[in-house]
Amino acid sequence: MTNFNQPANQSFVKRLSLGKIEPKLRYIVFILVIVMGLAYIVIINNVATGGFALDDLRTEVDELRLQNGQLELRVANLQSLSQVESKISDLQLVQTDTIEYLDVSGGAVAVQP
Amino acid sequence: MVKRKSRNKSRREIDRLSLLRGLLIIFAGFILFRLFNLQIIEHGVYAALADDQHRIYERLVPIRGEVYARDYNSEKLFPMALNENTYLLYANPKQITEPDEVVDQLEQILDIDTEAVLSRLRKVDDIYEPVAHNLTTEYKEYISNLGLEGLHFQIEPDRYYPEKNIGSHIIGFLGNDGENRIGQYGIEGYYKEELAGKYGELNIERDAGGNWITVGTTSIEEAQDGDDVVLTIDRNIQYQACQRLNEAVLRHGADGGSLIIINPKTGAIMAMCGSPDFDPNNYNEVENINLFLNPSTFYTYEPGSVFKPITMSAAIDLGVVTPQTTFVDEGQEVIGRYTIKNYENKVYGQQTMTQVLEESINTGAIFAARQVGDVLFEQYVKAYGFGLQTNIELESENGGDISTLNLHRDLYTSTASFGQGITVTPLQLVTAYGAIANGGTLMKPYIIDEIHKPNGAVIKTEPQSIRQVIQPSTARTISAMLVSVVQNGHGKRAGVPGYFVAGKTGTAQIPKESGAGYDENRTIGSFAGFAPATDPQFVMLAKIDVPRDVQAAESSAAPLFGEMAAWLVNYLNIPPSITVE
Repeated sequence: MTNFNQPANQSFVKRLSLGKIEPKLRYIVFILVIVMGLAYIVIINNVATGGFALDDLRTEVDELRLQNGQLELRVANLQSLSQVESKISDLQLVQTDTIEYLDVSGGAVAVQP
Repeated sequence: MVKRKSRNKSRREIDRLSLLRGLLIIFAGFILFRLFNLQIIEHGVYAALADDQHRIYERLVPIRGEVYARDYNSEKLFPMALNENTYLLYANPKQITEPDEVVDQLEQILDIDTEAVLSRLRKVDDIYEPVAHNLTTEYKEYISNLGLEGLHFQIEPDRYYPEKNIGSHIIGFLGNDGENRIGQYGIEGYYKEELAGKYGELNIERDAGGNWITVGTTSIEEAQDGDDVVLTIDRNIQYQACQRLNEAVLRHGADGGSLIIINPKTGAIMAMCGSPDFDPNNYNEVENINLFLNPSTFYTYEPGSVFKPITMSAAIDLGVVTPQTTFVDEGQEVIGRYTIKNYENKVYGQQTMTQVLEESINTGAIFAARQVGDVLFEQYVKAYGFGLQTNIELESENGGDISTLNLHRDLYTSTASFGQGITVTPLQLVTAYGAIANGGTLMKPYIIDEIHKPNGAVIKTEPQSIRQVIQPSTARTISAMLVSVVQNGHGKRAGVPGYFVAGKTGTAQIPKESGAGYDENRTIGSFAGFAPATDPQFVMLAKIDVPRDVQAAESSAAPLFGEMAAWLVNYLNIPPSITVE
C-alpha cells in the first residue's frame, strides 16, 4: 500500500540514510574507526617520544656545531701566517741563497747498469 | 492504522539519528582534515613554533658566508673572514634579589660600567637587560660557573679575521649601521648582500591583542645562508707583499704605499696591499676612517715617469718611432708660457727611444707623444683603461681623471706623456702594464675566483679579455726596452739576478695643496714591471708615498719591487733564464 503521508523528498533522505547501510559494513566501519584511532594514538605517541629524542639530538648537534666552529677558529688562528712566522722564528731557519733548477725537458738521464 | 503511524514515527527517528551520525562523521572528517593540515602540510611551521626560540632564530637568521684565500702550491683554502659565535650576557632583573652582589662579582671579570649595569639590574619589573657583548666561550663558562642568579647567555654571531691586518683593504669588515651588522669596504662591502644571505620569514596571524592565533594561517620561509667567497689571492704572496710593503714604508718614513701583483695572462689579483692598514677585528679602534679606503683602488695620483712606457707603446704601435729612433734633448721643452724640464734639470743630447726610457727623459716622452698626435694619444690612453673604473669586485673604486686629454692640446698631451696632469689608480696602472706583459691584450682585473652557493653550486670567474690595445710585436718591443731599463737604467735595483725583469720607475710630483704647481719636497715613488720578460708570470706595482729619506723611485719603490720579485720567482718556481756567474 502506498504511503501518501510520506513527504515528497523522503525517498531521497532514505537513499542517503546511513541506517540503510548493511550491518556488516557498519561493523567494518566501526572497527576501522577504532583501529585507526588506536593507530593514530600510537603514532602520535611515537612521534612525541621521537620528538624528545630528536630534540636531544638537535641539542647535541648544536653543541657539536659550536665546538666545531670554535675548533675551526682555533685552527685558523694557528694557521695564520703571523702565528706561523712567530713559531718558526724559534727554529732559526736560514733563507736559501741559491736555488738550482734541474732541467728535465731533454729527457736525457743516465741509467744505472 | 496505529501500527502504520508507529512505523512512520520510528522511521523519522531513524532518519534523524542517521542525520546526526552523518553530521558527526562530517565533523570528525573536518577534525581529521585539520589534523592532517596541521601535522602534515603545515608541519614545518608548527615544528618551528614548538621549538625553543633559539631554533626559530636559527631557521630565520642566515649564516654569513665566509671569505677564503688560496695557497697556490697546495691548492688549499685558508679563511680570511670567519664567523665566530660569541655570547651576549643578559640579566633577568626579576630573578635577581641581590643586584649589588652580582655586579660586584661581574666587575672583577668584565670591563663594565658598574653604575650603569647596577641601575639596569635594579629594574625589578624588567626581564631583559643586556650586560656585556661578544664574550668568548671561556668567559661564558667562567661566569656560568659562578652560579650568579638571573644571568643568562645568548649566542651573538661575530666576525673573525685570522690574518688580522694582512689584506684588510681587500677584506673590509663587518660593521654596524645602527641596528644591523653590515659589510663595509672591500669584499665585505662589495658583496654585502651575497655574503649576508637572506633572512627567513615567520608569518603568523595575530589577534587584536597581538597574540599568536595558533589555528590561524601561518607560514615559514627559511633563511637562505650567504655565499662563501674564494679570492684569487695567494695568502703567502699576500702576506709577504704586505709585510714587505709595511717594512718599506717604515724604513723610508713614508706616508703610505701600495703593492699590487696580478697575473698578466688572466687579470687575477695575486696580492693587493695598502699601507697603513688596519686590523678588521678592531676596526672601531681606527682613528682616521680614511684608513679603510683601499689605496690601490680609491686613491688616484699623477703617476709620473712610470707612464712613459704607455706613451712609448702608442708611438711604436703606430710605427712612428722605433727603439732606435733618435731625438736631441735640449733639457727643456717650451710650450706657450710653460717650460717643461727633465728630472734634476739634466740635458741628455741625442738619445734613442730606448734611452728615453732608461734615463727617464721627459722631453723624449714629449717627442714620442707628438709623433702619435693628440687625438690618437688620447685613444691609446683610454684603450689601456685609464679614466674608467676597472670594475673590480671591491667597494670604493675610483676611475682617475684623464679629462685634460679630451681637449687635444699640446700642453696636456705633453705633460701626460710623462704622467703629469692626469691621475690614475695603482690598479689601473698595473693592469695597463699587464696588457704589455700579455702580448698587448688588456685583461679585466678580478679578485673573486669562486663563489660557493649554499646549495653547493660553484660559480667560477672566467678571465675576461677587454681589448687588444697594442699589437703583440709592439708588446714584445716595449718589454725588451723595459728590460733594458732594469739592466741599464734607473730600475737596476728592481732586477733579480738570473731573470729578465722588465719595468720602469716613476717619481711623481704631488700638486701643492694650495696654489698652482708641484710640491718640491714631496714625491711618490712607483715602480711597475713584470717578470720573466720572456713569459711574464706576474706584473707588479710598488708605490711608496712621500718617502722622507729619498726622493727618487729608484731608491724607494724599485728596491721593494726587487725584493718582492726575488721572493716571487722562488715561490712560483720560475727557473732563471740567465746564467749567473
